[in-house]
Amino acid sequence: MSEGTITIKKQELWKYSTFLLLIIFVIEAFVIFGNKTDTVVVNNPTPTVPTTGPTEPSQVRASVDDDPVLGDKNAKVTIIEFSDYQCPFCERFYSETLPQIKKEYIDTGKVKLVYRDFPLDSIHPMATPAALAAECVREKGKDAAYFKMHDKIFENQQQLSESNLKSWAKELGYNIDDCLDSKKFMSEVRKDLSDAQASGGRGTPYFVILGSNEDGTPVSGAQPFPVFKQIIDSKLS
Amino acid sequence: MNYVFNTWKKIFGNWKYFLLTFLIAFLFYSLNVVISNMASLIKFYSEVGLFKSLTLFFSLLLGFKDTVLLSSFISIIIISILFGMLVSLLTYRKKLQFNKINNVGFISGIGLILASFVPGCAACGVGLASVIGLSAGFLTFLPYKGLELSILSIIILATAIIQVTNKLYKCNIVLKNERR
Repeated sequence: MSEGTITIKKQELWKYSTFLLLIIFVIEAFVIFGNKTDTVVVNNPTPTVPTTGPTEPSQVRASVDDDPVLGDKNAKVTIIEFSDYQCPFCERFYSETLPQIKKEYIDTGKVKLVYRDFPLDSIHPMATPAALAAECVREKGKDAAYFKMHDKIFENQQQLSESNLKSWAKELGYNIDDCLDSKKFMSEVRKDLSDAQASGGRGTPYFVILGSNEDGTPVSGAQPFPVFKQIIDSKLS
Repeated sequence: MNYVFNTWKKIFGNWKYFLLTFLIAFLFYSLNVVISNMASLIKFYSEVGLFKSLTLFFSLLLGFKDTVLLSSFISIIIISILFGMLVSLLTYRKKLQFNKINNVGFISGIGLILASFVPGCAACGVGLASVIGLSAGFLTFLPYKGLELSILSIIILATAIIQVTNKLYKCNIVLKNERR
C-alpha cells in the first residue's frame, strides 16, 4: 500500500511539475506580451513589428512602390520580396532559390523581382544599416548598383558592420559615408516595413507574387524553387 | 529497458501499427507545413483549384526543411514520430481493452502543446502555435530561442511513450491481482 502511495506521489509530482512549467511559460508569455504590447521593438526611433500574427488577408496586396526592380519592368509577373539583410533565411533564398528564378524567369523577361526592406531589428541589429546602405548606393547608381550592393551584403552577411558597408560601397565605386551616417533613407525603409506588415508579412523572407491583377499570392519563408515555380507558372498561364 | 524495446518490436512489427505510426507522424508533420503556409495554400487553391494546390502542398512538404532551422526540422521529425508511436501504443492498448493509463493523456497533451511551439526561425511563425495567432517573436527572449521547448516536448512525449509501454506489461499483472 505504501509503495502504491509512493508511485502515485511520483506521478503527481511529475504531473504538477509539468503543469507548473506550462503555467510559468504562459505567465512569461503574458508578461512579455503585456510589457511589449504585442510588439517587438525594431529600433529607436522606429516603428514596430507585431509578434501576434495578423489575420491572413483574404486579398493580399503589395505595391512595387518606388523600390529597386530586378528584371524587365514590364514583366507579366512581379515578385515582391520583403527581406532582411541579416536574416539567414533571406540569405538562403538569395543563394539557393533566387539564382534559379533569375535564370528561368527574370532573365527571360517573364518575371521581375522587387526588393523591399523588412528589417527585424530586434533580432538583426545590422538589418536597417544594411538596408540604408543599399538605398544610398541606389541613389548614386540606380537599380543596377543597388543589386550589386544587395549581392555583396548577402555574400558577406557574416561580416556586416557599418564600416564594412561603407567599404563595400566604395569597392563598387560609391561613397555613401554621409548618406549612411545621416540615415537619409530611414523613412523609405520604414515604409517598406510597414507595407510588409500590412500585406500579411509575419517573418522574413516574405513574398507576394502578383500576376495580372492586384491580388497576390503570399509565400512565407525561404521556400525552394519548385514552390515559386508552381505559383509563377500559374500566374503566367 | 529491454522490456520496452521488446514491446515496441512486437507492436511495431505488426504492419498495421507501423502504418498507423507512419500516418500519424505524417499527419502531424503535414499539419505543421499546412499551418505555416496556410495563406499561400488558401490563395493558390482559390486561384487554380484543388489539383494544383495539392502539388503545391507536396512541394511545400518537401521544401519545409529549407524554411526552418535544422534543429527545428529535426525536432519536428522526432516529435512527429514520437506522437505517431504514442497514438499507436494507445490504440494497441485500447484494442486489448485495458483500463486507461492515468496521466498519459495529460502528459502527452503537455508534450504536444510544447511541440506546437517548435520554432521555425525566431522571426517566423511557430508551427502549430501560429493557429492561435502567435508568432515566434517571444521565443527570442528564451536563451536557446525555443529549442528548449522542443527538447522538453521530446522528453515529455518519450516519457509518455515509455510509461504507456511499461504499463502495457505491468497492467496484466495488476489486473489479475485486482480481479482476485
